[in-house]
Amino acid sequence: MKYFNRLMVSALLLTPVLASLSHAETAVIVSLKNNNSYTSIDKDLITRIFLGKVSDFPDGTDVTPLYLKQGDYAREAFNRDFLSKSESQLSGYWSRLRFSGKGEAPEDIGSAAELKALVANDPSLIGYIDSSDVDGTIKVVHQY
Amino acid sequence: MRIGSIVGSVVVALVAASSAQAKSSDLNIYGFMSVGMGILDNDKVTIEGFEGEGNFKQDTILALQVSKQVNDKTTATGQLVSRGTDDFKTEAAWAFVSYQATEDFTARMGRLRIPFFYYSEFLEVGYAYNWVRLPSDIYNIPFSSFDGVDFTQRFSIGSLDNSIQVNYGRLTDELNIFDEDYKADLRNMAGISLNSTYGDWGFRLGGQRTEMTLDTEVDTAYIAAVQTATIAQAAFNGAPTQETGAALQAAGTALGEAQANFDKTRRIDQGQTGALLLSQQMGLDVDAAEEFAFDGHTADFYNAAVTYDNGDYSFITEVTAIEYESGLLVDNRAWLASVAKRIGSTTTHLTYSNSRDVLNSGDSGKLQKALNLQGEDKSVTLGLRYDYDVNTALKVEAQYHDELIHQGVKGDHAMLYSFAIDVIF
Repeated sequence: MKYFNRLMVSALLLTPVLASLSHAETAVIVSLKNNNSYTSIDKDLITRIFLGKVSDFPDGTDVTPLYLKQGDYAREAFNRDFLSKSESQLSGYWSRLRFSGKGEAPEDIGSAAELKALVANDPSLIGYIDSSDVDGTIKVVHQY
Repeated sequence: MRIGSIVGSVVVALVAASSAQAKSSDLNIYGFMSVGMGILDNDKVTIEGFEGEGNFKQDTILALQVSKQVNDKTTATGQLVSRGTDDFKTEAAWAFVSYQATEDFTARMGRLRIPFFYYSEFLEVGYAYNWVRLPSDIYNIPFSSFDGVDFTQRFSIGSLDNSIQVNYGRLTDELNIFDEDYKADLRNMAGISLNSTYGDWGFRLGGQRTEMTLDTEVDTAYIAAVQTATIAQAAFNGAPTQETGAALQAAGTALGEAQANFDKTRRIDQGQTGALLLSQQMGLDVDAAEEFAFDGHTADFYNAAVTYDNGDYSFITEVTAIEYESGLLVDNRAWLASVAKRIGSTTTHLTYSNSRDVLNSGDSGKLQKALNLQGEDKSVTLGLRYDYDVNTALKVEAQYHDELIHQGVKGDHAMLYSFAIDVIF
C-alpha cells in the first residue's frame, strides 16, 4: 500500500514533466506598458501580425513583430505552431514581399534575453520566447 | 495633387538623407539567382523558349536589389535583373521610391511591375515558387514592367486581410512577340487589383487596360504587286495576246520579288498586310485597315486566383482572360490548377495548364482564322523541389506540353525536362 502510494505520487510528479517535454510552450510577449496585455490577443491575430498582414494591435496602436534567430528552438516551435511554415517556406514567403517591394521580414533577435529587453522598453513591439524564459520584465499575451 | 506631394516629399527626403546619412538605416542589398538547364525531346517545337537539345541559358537569371530607407516614410529601391534570355544584359525591373503615408497606405513611383497576375510581382524569383519557371500557358505576356505610379491601401475586415492596389503609367519598350522584336508604346496603362487572405486561403481579382501602339508596317509594295498581278492576270484571261502575256509575265516576276521581301517581314507585319489583302479577296465586311492594326488599340487583362497553403499542402488555381481590340492578336483564355504536398524538405507538385485563343465573332474572326493567328496549348507538369537550406532550392521537373493548335495549324507535342537551382541572398 505504501509502495503503491509512492508510485502514485511519483506518477503525479512526472506528468507535468512529460507534458512539458512533449509540448514545449511558446509565450508571445509584449511590454508591461502595452494596454493590449489586458485584452486577449488570439492565435489568429498573432499569426497575422507575424506574417505582416496586420500592422496594428487591437487598440489601434502600431505593432512591430520580432523573430528569434534561425535555429532557435522557440523559433522552430513558433514557425510550426503559429505560422504553419517550415523555415524555407517562411523564407519564400518573405522573399515574395521583399522582391516586390511590399515588405521586409521582421528583425531576427539573437536571444530570448535580448528580445525581452527590447520588448520591455517599447510598447509597439511583440515577440515570442520559450515559456521557460518568461519573467516579470514582460507580459505574456498568449501561450501555446 | 497627391503625386505632387509625393514628389515633394521624395525630394525633401533625398536631400535630408544626404545630409543626415547616419540617422537612417543601412543600405540593404539582397538578390536572387536561378541557374537551370532544360532538354526538350522534340526539336520541331519551341516550348517555354527551349528548342531541342540542352540549354543552360534559358532559365538563368541574376538579380540584385538595393534599397535604402531614406527617412521614416520614404524608401528608394532598385532591382537590376540580368537574364540569360537577354544575353545577360542588365535591366531595371524595379526602380522606385515608395512613400508610406500611413501604416496601411503606400504610394510608389518609378519603374514598377504590372500586377497582372498572382505571380506577376515576383515572377522571376524562382525561390518563391515550386516550379522551375512559371508556366507560359498563363504567364506569357511579353511585357512585365511599366513606368508610373501605384497606390496600395491595406484594410482588414475581421480576420480577412485585404489590399487594394491601383496602378497607372506607360511603357515604351521593345517587345518580343512570336520571337521577333517590336517597338511598342503602351499608353494609359491602368489597373486595379484586390488581394485578400483569410487564414490559409488567399483570393485575388485583377484587371488592367492599356492602349497598344506597335511599329508594325503594312507592306504596300507587296499589296501593289499583288494588285498589279491580279489585274494583269484578268487582262490576259480576257485577251490572251503577246502584249498582255508579257505584262503578266512582268507582273509575275515583280510579284516574286515582292513576295521574297514580304516573307522577310515580321509575323505581325505579315498579318497586317495579309488582313488588307484577304479582307478584299474574301469579300469580308471588316475594316481591316482600322481593326487589324496597332494604333492605340486597347488590350484588357482580367484575372482571378484562389490559393491555399497550410504548410503541408498547397494549391493554386488561376484564370486569366485577355481581350485585344486589334484583330492581329487573338483574345485568349487560360487557366491553371496546381497542387503541392510537402514532406520535410521535399515538395512534390503537379500542375495542369491550358491556354486557348478565341477568335472574334463574324467576319473579323474569319479573317483571323485565314491569317492563321490562333493557338491552343495545354501542359502537365510534375516536379520536385528540395529545400537544401533556407536560401537554396533544387528543382527537377518534367513537363508534357501539347501544342494543339500552333499559328492556326495542328501543332506538335514534346516533353521538357528541367533542372534548376534557385538561391536568395
